[in-house]
Amino acid sequence: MKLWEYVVRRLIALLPVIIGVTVIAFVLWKAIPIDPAIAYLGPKAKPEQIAAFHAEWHLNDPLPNQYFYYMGRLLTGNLGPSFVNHVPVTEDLATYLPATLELTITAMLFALPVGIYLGIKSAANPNKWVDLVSRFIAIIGVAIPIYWLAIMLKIFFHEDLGVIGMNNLLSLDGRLGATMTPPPTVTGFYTIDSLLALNYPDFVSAVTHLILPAFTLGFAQLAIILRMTRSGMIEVLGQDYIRTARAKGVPERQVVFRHAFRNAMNATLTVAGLTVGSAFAGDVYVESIFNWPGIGKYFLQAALHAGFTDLLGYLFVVTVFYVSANLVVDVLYATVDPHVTLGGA
Amino acid sequence: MLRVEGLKTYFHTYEGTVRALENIDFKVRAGEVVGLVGETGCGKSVTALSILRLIPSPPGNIEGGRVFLDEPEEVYTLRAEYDRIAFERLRRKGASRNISSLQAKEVLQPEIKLLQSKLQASNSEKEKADLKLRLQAATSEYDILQKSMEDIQRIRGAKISMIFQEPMTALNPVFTVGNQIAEMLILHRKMDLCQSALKALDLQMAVRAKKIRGKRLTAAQGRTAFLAGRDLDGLPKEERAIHDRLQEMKDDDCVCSVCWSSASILWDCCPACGARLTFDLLAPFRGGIMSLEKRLYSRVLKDPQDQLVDFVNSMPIFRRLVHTRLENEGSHWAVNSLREVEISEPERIAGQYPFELSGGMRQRAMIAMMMACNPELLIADEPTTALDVTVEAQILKLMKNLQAKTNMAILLITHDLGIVAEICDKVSVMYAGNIVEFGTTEQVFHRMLHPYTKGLMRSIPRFKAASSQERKKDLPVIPGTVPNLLYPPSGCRFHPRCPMASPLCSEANPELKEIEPGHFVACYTHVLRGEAPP
Amino acid sequence: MAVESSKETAVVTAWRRFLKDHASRISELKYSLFLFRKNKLAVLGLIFILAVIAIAFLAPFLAIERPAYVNINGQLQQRWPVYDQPGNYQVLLPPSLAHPFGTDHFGTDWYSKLLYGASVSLEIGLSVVIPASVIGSFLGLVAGFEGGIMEEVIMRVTDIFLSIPSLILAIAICAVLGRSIEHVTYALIITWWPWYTRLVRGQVLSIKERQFIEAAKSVGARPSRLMLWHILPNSISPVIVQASMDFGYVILTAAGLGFLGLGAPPGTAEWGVMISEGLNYLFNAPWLAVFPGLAIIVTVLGFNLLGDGLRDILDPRLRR
Repeated sequence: MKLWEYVVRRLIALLPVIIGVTVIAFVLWKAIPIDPAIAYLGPKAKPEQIAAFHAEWHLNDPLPNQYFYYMGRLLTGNLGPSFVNHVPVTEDLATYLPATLELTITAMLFALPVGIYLGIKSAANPNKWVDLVSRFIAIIGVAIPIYWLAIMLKIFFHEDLGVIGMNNLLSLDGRLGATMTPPPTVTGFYTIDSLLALNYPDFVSAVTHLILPAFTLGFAQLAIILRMTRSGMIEVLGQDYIRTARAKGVPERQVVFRHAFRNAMNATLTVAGLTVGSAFAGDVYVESIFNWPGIGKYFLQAALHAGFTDLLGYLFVVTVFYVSANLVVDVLYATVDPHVTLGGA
Repeated sequence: MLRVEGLKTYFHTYEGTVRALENIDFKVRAGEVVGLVGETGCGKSVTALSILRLIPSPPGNIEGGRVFLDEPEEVYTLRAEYDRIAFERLRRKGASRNISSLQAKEVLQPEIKLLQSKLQASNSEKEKADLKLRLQAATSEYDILQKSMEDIQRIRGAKISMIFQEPMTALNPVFTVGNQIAEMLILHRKMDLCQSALKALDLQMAVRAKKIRGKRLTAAQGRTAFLAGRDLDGLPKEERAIHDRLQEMKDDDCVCSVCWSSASILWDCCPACGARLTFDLLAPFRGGIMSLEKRLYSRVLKDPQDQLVDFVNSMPIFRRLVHTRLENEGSHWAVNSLREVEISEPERIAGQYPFELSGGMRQRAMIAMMMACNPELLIADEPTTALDVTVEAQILKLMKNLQAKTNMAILLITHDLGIVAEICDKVSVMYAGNIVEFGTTEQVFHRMLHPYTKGLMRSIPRFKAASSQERKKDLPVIPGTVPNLLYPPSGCRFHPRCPMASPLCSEANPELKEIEPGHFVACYTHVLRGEAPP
Repeated sequence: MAVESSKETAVVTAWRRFLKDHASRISELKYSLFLFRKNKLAVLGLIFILAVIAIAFLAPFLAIERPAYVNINGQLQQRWPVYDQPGNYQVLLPPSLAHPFGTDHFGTDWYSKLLYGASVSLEIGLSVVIPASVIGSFLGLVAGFEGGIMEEVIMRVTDIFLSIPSLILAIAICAVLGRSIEHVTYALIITWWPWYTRLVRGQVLSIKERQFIEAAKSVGARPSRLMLWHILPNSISPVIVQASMDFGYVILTAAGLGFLGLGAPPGTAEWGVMISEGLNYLFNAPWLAVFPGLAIIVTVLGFNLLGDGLRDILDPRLRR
């Protein structure tokens, strides 16, 4: 089948998944042990207000009706008002999303190329320095909690406690220097926006604030990617067709990067998709520790302060991102590996 | 044209050192088919891999020996005396016969220096030529084991090719067959490809001005489209000719909708009228891209190591600029290669992936790939072991045909004596890492000299027995088993199983001695009988 | 006298027969142990884990201070001794001989809390991994074996759960249900089971095609027997490997949830909670955050190495 047929198939397969996620969100909504009206209106709510709330939100209808009402709201893009500050959830999310995207994209731009490259090099040069360092990262990197790494880095770069020479180099808090104002919003990414506005001090500040959180987040993903790529490559490099390629006189570099990696890409792509989800998860930790105003921090605040609609809204949005990333991975699979579209053996 | 002298390959494993090849000597002349026979585990594949230096290096290592490729006769004769000097000096140090080029060059330093100084001082052309030959002999110039990795990569595939035992796994699953053959061409015959690409480019540029666009139709569709409801009889002569030609084509063949000539799947424009047949994303830029390509190809043709081209090659996106067209050209040539190995519908096959082909087809594709650059020597490592008997016969016949056409030498590695009897001119018999007998097929099969060879021949089951008594007897086998190469027997490795063993056999490994012209054997029984000098 | 000795001999002969019947399996086991010992990293991992387990059990004996337990709303909570009154002020002391890891903002000994935290983490690990792997594997077995609608439904549900990032789902569940260690456990079980389903189903599908299944069917094996006796034992090795590594990851995630404030109540000796307390006093007393993290690393590392070692042993391709 052709590529676009495959894409359409995958999109259709997504439908039940999305519906299922809404069901889970709905179940969570109904599992809240306290009356949502009280949670929203506060403990001093009057009975009429509570009744009005129940009516507006169809909370007394039979369950299936409630679900349809809920789905209806979702389809119109209405995630409800925040239980924390009564602002529509969509608005809140839109405000905080760019910060998270800036962080996550930077982290992935760091983790993917470095992880893949090290993984390939490590598999192709067993027991040399590259391999030893990579194996070390692969083993230790997955055991280090992100939150702990973030804290350690904060200590390391702190002005009083940090290592001499490194302290005061990088900023530990927030997205921009305390006294600075953010550049006019074009993309919402402070780094890009400040460049576009030709505001160099802002740019420098934005970058120095971005480095540590992005590195922390990226490191965790790097370890996973490195691990998978390395093991995939090791398996491929033992195959017969690699020997054939060498016998053809193909230079070693091409053997590794073209012949071998193309075949090992399957494993790498799988794990790349997974790391997107893992990155959003790590976001929650990194944003709260580095005081980065993104949706992860927003989500955590919601979780701690009974912001139920916020919670579920965030869940939904992140799931959509994650699912899209995996769809991209599936399409890439089909591009690289002929088995997928041609089926058969 | 290939001389293997004293090849020694060991594998250093956790459990000890596996002495896979102890002392391998044989030669292959141009155009000869030499068989390398032996049981499983005797080191045949290791020999082949050692020649091409494909031994995986952490455990394996080529400890000694030299492999001479295309060494001229004069250098060979001159080398004999230098080798004698080298052996003498090394024997005093206690080294064995398997010297490597490095060792030889070390001990021959004084001679080499002398020759170099003489060469500098000399004035006469004749003397210079002679000295150059001597220098090549002394430094083992033609030994490929001492060459750099780059040189070896240039030899692999172009001068010496190898086909492997398992066609199922030997081809890369993510590239089409045509692509893999084209890769070979791009690696080794870049200049030819560039020329042909240049011609195609000129054609396309000429036609592009006319901006003809066409479609690629199957012959079946083409027939109906061509007639377009007209009456067959009312057609003028030229159109009648086109119609007949269309009728002759197979339904699946492709035709250009503009000029109705055959338009192969692999062409993106019609070779006859130049009409563009496929959708081109970069159409507006194509003019500029094509003139750029033309400049690059002309530069490559003038100077293969052109720096600008190398620079473009190293950038990942611009590399496609040069390589896409070369790959396309290569794919066309690949189709011809596939046709030569008697694959039907080569165009369709070229666009398919290896997992879509059967075992026999894959092996043919591999042969096509490895022969695409007309190597001088083809090493075939048990090419038919994984295939059915009928397919086996076809492949063997194919190889013999190709060999006759191109005068290529074949080193055929197998454990099947039947195959050897059929297509080999000469045979080497290997046992446990040593060559024990070498000669023409006739000599080895009818006047076998080594006890192992005798045992092998005797143990072939025959349909027609010499007498009814023989039919009733058990199949004679060689007693014992193949030795563990971690701890090989001392001296001749066959002596524990040899019916004619003598005390001498456990002391030292016998060397190959010529018993009758061209027939060598490594066995002390012949020395003891006085048939050969010790 | 005679009766006793004959009883003894009966037991001995029974044991000898058992050994003989399972001789090949026992020699396989011995070979596996040999391979394991050869893998130094795996042995190191095992040592780490045993150390952590030992600490978990011996905490009351190894600790300098011990908590008291108070019953709040039916839950048993820890109350650690507090030393923040003038005259006995031990707040935020750096590591010393008396307090190897220092003291926290209440003056409680950090080392003791760390030791007690081991048992909490191990408990969570056990109570998540075992149910999740059992449930997930069972579903995967059924899905792979039955095929048809059953498989479709199970795999769809699995896909749905897997399309939400695990931590996010766990946080959402804990936020909705309320903060407590039990809720963390439930949330993690819900988050973790789908991986096993997918894993086992893949295994079952590939095993189903193998020839020995056809052979068993051809002698008339019942489906349940096929499933239990033939397919399950062969598909279990990746589950074992995954489960041992998941032990570590569950502990990591559970501590993360504790860190975020969604697990144990503040003041409990749980490594994640301890790190979050350390965060509050990061620049005054950095040691508070360092040591629980190291404990987590050692534990997770141990399970990781063990899992890797198990994978190397159980992979038939790598054996002799």
